[in-house]
Amino acid sequence: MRKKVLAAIVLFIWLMVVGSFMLLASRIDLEIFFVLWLIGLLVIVELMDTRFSLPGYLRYIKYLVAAGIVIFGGIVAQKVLEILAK
Amino acid sequence: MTTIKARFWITALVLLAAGLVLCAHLTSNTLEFSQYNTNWNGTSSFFASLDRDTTVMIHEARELAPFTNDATLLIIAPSRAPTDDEILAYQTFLDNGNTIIIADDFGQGASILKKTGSAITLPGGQLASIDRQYANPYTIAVYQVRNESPVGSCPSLLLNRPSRVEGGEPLMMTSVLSWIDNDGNRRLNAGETMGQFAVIASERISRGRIVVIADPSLFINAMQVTEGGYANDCLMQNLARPGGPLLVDQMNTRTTDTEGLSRILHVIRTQFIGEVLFFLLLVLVALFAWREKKL
Amino acid sequence: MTPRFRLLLLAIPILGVIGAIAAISAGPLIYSLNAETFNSPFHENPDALKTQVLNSTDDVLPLMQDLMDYSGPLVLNIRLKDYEQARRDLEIFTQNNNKFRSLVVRLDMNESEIAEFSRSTARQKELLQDLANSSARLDALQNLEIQYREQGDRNGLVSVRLEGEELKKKIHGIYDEYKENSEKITTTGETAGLNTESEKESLQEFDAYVREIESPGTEVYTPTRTTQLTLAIRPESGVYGDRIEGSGQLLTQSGLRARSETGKPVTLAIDTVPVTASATDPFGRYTLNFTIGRLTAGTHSLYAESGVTRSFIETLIIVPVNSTTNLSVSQPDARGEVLCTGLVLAGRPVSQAPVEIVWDKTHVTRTMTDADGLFSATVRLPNGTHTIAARFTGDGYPIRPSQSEPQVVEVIIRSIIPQIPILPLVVAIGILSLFAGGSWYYLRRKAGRPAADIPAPESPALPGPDIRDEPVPEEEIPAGPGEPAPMEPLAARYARILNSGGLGAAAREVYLHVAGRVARRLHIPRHTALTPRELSRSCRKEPFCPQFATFVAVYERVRYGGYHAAPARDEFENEMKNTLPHLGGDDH
Repeated sequence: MRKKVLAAIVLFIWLMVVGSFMLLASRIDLEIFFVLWLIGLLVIVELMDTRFSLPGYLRYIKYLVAAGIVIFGGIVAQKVLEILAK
Repeated sequence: MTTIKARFWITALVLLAAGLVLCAHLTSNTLEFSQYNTNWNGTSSFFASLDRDTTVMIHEARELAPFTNDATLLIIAPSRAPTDDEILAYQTFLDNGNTIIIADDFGQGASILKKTGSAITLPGGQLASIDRQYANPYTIAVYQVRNESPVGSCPSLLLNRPSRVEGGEPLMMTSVLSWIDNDGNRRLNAGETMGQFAVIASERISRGRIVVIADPSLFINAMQVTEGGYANDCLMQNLARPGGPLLVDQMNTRTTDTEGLSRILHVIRTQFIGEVLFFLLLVLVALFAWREKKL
Repeated sequence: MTPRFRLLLLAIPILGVIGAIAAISAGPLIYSLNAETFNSPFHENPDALKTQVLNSTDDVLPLMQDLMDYSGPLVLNIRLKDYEQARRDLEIFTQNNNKFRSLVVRLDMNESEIAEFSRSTARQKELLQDLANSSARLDALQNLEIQYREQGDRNGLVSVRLEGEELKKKIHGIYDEYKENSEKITTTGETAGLNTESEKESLQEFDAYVREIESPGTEVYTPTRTTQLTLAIRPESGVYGDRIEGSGQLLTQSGLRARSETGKPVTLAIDTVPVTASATDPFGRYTLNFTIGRLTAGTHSLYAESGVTRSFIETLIIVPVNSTTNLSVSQPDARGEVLCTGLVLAGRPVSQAPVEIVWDKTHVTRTMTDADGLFSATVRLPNGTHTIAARFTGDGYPIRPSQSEPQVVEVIIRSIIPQIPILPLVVAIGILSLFAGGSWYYLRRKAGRPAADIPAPESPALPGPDIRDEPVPEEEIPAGPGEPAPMEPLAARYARILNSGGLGAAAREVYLHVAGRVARRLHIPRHTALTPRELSRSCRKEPFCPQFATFVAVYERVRYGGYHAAPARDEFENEMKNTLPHLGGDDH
C-alpha cells in the first residue's frame, strides 16, 4: 500500500478512536479533538518523512502542521488567560 | 476488478450503518416516560423486559372485563383525568379480585384513586431526605416496612423525585430524616418538619387490591439499575412478572407518547390492519426487487 | 465523472465542515453530559449527578445519639464532684459536637431542626462547662467558709457567703436555661426515634443538684455586723438604655443605737464589676444610678459596697430587645470609595457599639456607633456591581442582632489611561510568538540532515582501479531536455560531469539513466515523479531489483546526504558497475 494512502487510513482510524472515546465519555469537545488530531498528524508526518527527499504529498502538509501548531498556541494562550482571569 | 469490488462492499457497509443510525434516530424520541424513548428518561427498557406471553396491552376499558382473578393492571404516569367508563372498568376489575398498581406522583393518579373509592391519597409535595445516593436530596432511599407484593424481596429502593402517599398500609417508607420540600430549595428549613413518609402503600378494596407507588420515575431507563446496592431491579422484576397476567394500561399513560416517525410506527404496531398493510408493502418491494434481478 | 467534478463534489462537504467548525469554534465544548442534561420536571438524570452516599442510620443518627448520651453522665460527675472525669467527658462532647456541626454544614441544613439540635447541644456544652466551673468554685468557697469560721474571720465569712449566694443563683440560672435546651433536644431526639433517657436523666440529676445546693442544710452563720449597708434597686428589670436607680443607707450599730455614716463612698457592682459610685449624705443615705448598656440579657447580681461592708445581693433582670440597623450608601467617587452611614436603634440609639459593614458577603469593615447611635465608614470598592449591608451583631448587649437592607452599588472606575489588561495581553502575545517561532523552525529545518554532517572535502585520488578508464557497455542515452542527443557513453558522460559538476551531479545523471531503464522494464509511467526510494520499492519480482535497491541507497547518500568523499565515490562507482549489467542494453 502506498505511504500516503496508509497515512490517510491511519489518521482516519485514529480520529474514529478519538471520536468513539468522546461519545462514550459523553463529552464532545472541539479543542480536545483538534489537539489530538494535531498530535496524530505530527506523529504520522514524522514517521512518513523521508531522510533525503521531500515527496510531493509531504510538501504542503507541513504548512498544515505549522498552522496547527499556531492554532494550538492560540488554544494554550486562551486557557492561560482563563486561569489568570480567575 | 478486485479493487472495485472491495470499494463497493465498504460503501455498502457504510451506507447500511448510516441507515441503521438514521432509523434509530428517527424512530426514537425524547418524550418523558415514553416506551419508545431509549434515552435516560424513557421507559423502553422496562417495556422491553416484559414477558410477551403473559403481558397484555390494554387500549380500551372493555378489554379489562375478561380478567376475573389474579391479574395485575399497571398504570404508569396517568396524564389525564379518567373517564367514567374507565373508572367503572377499574372498579369492576377490582371487584373481580384483581390488583391495580398506580405509579404516579403529581399527575392524575390522585383522581383515579378518589374515583375508585380508595382511602389512599397522593397529597403531593416534593419529598426530600438525607438518605441518598447522589448529591441531590430528591434522589432518596426508602426502606421496606412490610414484606408484601410487589416489594416482597426488595429491602430498599432508590427513588427519583418522589412524592408521598397517605392512607392504606405502608409498604416502603423513608427514613425519619426526611421532609416535604415546600419551597423547593432542597434544604430543610424552618417550617418544614422532619419525619417518616410512606412512598408505597396498599389497600384492599372489594375483592381486589390497590397498590400506589408515589414515583413513576422508577420505570425510566436510568433508574432500572442503580448504584449503591438498591433493589430497583428487584421491584421491576416483581412488577414485570407478578405471577398472573400483567396488563399494562395504554389508555391513560405517558408511556404511549410518541412523535414523528415513531407515531407512525406506533400506529402500525397497535393497529392490526396497519400491520397487514405494512407487510403487504414489504412483499411488494421484495417482488419488485426479484423482478429487477430476473431481468 | 471527471476528476474536476469529483474534486468539486468533495469540496462542498469539506467547505461545509470547515464552515460548521468555524461557527462553533467560539464555544468548543459541543456536548457534555453535565452541561447538556435538560431540566426534566419529572426526574433527575443520575448519570449527571455527583455521587454522595448518605445514610441517616449510619451517618447522622449515631452522632445525635452520642451527643444525647453524654449529658447524663456529665451532670452526674459534676454532682459527685469528679471534675476531672467531667472535664474529659466535656472534651469528648465538644469533639462530637464539632463533628455534628460539620455534618450539618455539609448537608446544608443550617435552618433545620437538625441545625437547631446542633445549636442546642453546643449551648448545652457551654452550660455544662459553666456548671462545672461554678460548682468547683462553690466547693472552694465552702472550704473557705470552714476555714474562716475556725479563724473567726467575720468579714471573710461575709464575703464568702455573699459570693456563694451569687454562685447558687448563677447555677440556678444555668439550670433554667439547660432545662429549656434539654427539652428541645429531647423533642428532636424523639422525632428521630432516638433514645432520650440519658438526656432526661441529666435534667433530673441537675434538678437534684440545684435543690441540694439551695437547701438550708448547713448551719447559717450570721455575723454580728457592726456596719450595715442596705440596697434597693428600681426597677428590678429593664431593657437596654433604661435607667436603674439604686438607693440605700449605711448604718453603724453601736449598742442599741444605729448611727448613720455620712460622706462614706459607696460603690455599686454588677456581677462583681463596679459600675458607679456615690457617697452617703448626712443621713447615711445614698443614691446610685446607672444606665443599662453593654450587659448581656438575663439575670445579673447587684450589690453595694462601702469599705469592707457589702449589701445583700439584689437581682436585676435585663430583657433583650430587637434592634434595627439602617444604612445609606453614597455614590461611588472616581476611586470607587463609598461613604456608608447609618443608625442602630433598639428602641433608642445604641451607642458605642460595634457595627460591621459587609460588602459582597465576604468583605468586612468594622466601625463603631457614636453616642447617638450613628456610624459611618468609607469603603473602597473595585469595579463592578456590589451589595453592601451593615450588621449589628449585638454581642455583649441585651439587644438582638439586626442587619440593614442590602444596598446595590455600581462602581465604574475610569482612569485617564484606558484600562488595557497589560499582563494578559503580554502573556497571550508571548505564547503565540513562542508557538509561531516553533512553527517557523519546524518549516525551516531540512528533512533528515543533521547539522554536524558536513560533507568532507574532496580527497586526492586514491590508488585503485579508476572506473573512468574501464570500458563500459555502450548504452543508448535518453535525450535530456534541451540537450543535443549525442551517443555519449554513460561512463564518459559520468566522467565529464564529475569533473565539471561534482559527484552529486554526476551521480544524478547515472541515476536518471538507470531509473529510465528500470521504469521501461517495469512499465512505470511518469517515473520521474517518484522518488528513488519509491521507484526502488516499486521494483518487485525482477532479478535486478535487489541490486537496484542497493544502488538507490548509495545514490541517496551521495546525492542527498552530501557524501562526496573518495570512499563514497568509490562505493558509488562500484554499485554503478554492478547494477548496469543487470539492466541489460536492450531497448524497449
